[in-house]
Amino acid sequence: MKIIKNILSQLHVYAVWLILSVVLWGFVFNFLTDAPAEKKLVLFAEVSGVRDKAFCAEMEKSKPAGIRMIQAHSFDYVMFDEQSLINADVYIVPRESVEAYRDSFRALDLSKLKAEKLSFYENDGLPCGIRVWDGETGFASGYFTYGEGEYYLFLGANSLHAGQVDDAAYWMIGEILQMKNE
Amino acid sequence: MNKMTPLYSPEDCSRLDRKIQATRAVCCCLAAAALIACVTLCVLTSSANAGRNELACVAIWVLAGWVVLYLRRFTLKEARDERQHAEMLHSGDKETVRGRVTVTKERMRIVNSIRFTLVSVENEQGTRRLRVCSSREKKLRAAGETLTLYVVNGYVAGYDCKVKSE
Repeated sequence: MKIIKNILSQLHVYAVWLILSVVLWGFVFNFLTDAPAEKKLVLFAEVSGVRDKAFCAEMEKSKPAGIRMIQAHSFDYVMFDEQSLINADVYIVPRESVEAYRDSFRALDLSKLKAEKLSFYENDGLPCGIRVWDGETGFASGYFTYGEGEYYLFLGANSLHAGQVDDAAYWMIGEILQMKNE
Repeated sequence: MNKMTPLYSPEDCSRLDRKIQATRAVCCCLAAAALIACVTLCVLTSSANAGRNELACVAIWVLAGWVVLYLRRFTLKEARDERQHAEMLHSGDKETVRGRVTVTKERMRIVNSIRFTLVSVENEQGTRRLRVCSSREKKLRAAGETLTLYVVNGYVAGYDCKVKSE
């Protein structure tokens, strides 16, 4: 009884500690668990919802050697970490936003992909993006909540995993393209 | 010959010191254990279990923090204040008050500190109200009714114990 009385008399202190802990560990946890760019694959999707944990868990099952961490974020995450968006390896964006991010993408090397029956977004005559959602069907829809219209998948211009360190970004694209109509 | 029996004997003071040290040690160990557990969880984190581990880290940190806050705010502070009070009673200038002593049921708490019980002393000069730390109340009750109290700033420091002179 005395303990409960004591706790109630200091409830505000415990509430402040709870809030501080949540905020603090949000940053500390990300700081401690983050991997360097060459050991991390990052996907950003401009969609209304990303089941990031489930997507990452699925990807982890067969991740290439050398990759320690896989992250998937919606574009809202940019409010926490803009650099992460700029250096992302793979992007999924709606057709109408492609022009706005055009400089953030690089041309695809189709020899590294099993490109069968795919529709591409071309930039200066080079295949640059792969259509992953046509408005009704597509790829990995169990993990990404697509809106209306078409969505394309792009390779990041600053990605270290598109030939520079390894080809893990192509591996990720290949995995997504295997998640047909989920 | 009269001899004062202090309400806080040297054993009582060393018991309070031990309590302070033990509480501090528990707080430090708990904080260290929580930190080690959280860092271990961070090290064991993969993309698949990141969410769960982050939640576990927050839960461990919050719970350990609450326990430490409680111990510091109540257990440690009360023991420290009581120790300081005992020190003040030992070193302060004492006056004596003799009379019929009644330990009342009225209690008061100094804000954020220890509790005191009010004691009334009746003699020819009237009634005087004094305070005794509530944890020492029993000792004073057991001493008898008519006593000489040793008082420091209105707080009872001890009572007399009659020793037959040879």
